[in-house]
Amino acid sequence: MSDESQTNAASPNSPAAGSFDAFVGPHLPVLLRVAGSLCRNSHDAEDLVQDTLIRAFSGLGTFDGTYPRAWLLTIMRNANINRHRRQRPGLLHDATDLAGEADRRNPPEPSAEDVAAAHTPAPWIADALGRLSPRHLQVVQLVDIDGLTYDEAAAALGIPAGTVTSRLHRARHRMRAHLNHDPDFRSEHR
Amino acid sequence: MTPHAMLDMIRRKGGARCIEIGRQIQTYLDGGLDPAAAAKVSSHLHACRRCGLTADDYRRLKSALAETTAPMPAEPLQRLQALAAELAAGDTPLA
Ligand SMILES: [Zn+2]
Repeated sequence: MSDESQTNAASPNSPAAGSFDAFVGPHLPVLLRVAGSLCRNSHDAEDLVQDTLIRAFSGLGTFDGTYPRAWLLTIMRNANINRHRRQRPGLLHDATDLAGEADRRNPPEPSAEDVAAAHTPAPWIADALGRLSPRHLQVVQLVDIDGLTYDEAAAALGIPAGTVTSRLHRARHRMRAHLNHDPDFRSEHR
Repeated sequence: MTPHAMLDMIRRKGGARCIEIGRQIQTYLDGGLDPAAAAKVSSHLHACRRCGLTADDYRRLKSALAETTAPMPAEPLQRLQALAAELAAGDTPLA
């Protein structure tokens, strides 16, 4: 079973079970968006948010009342890891994976085509996104497109916030360097 | 040219100050600097054309990316909201 769903010793600041829907409702659009960034297709994304809600409800007593979005995104990340283990059970017994090689546990990253198809951005943006590595694309999507804070993106990806920051800054730097040669970017710009 | 004027010219062309500011521009635009550091970056961006244009590029990039967000279809959200309500009401036995 899940790591965070067992303890129901209520923290004094955790929301009441009966108000779970009111507590979680405002976060559903962001959860679904982020799930879309992690999952590749909308069916899997909705499934992942369902898993997340069930786990969050079970673990509600452990929530300390601060940063609900980061809390929910951490649960989503764990739920997503579990889904990938179920799909590829061999991984569970892979010594390297158990040793905690973070990169191998990361969900499949969306391709630039997935992002472009999902969001239909301006052509010059699509072109610049298409030149990013999958990891750079992922942080740009979570922070600059989906609107997460650095800490929330870190929770969703299971990496330190400092890593989110450095990846994001490098990604934007590359996009800007590329866009400097793009007449559309320049003409809208100066 | 006086040494002072020369130094001024180097600054305008992009000296150590510009490199230092350049490292902070993205954090500044993301609202991640403390007020004192933000004020320093802000005044440099107004005074230095090159760094000011760099900041404009990042602003433009960020706002274009923010506009890239797709409209969210209503049905999945409604189904998820319904699931949350069932859980809250205790109607869904947990697996
Ligand atoms: Zn400068």
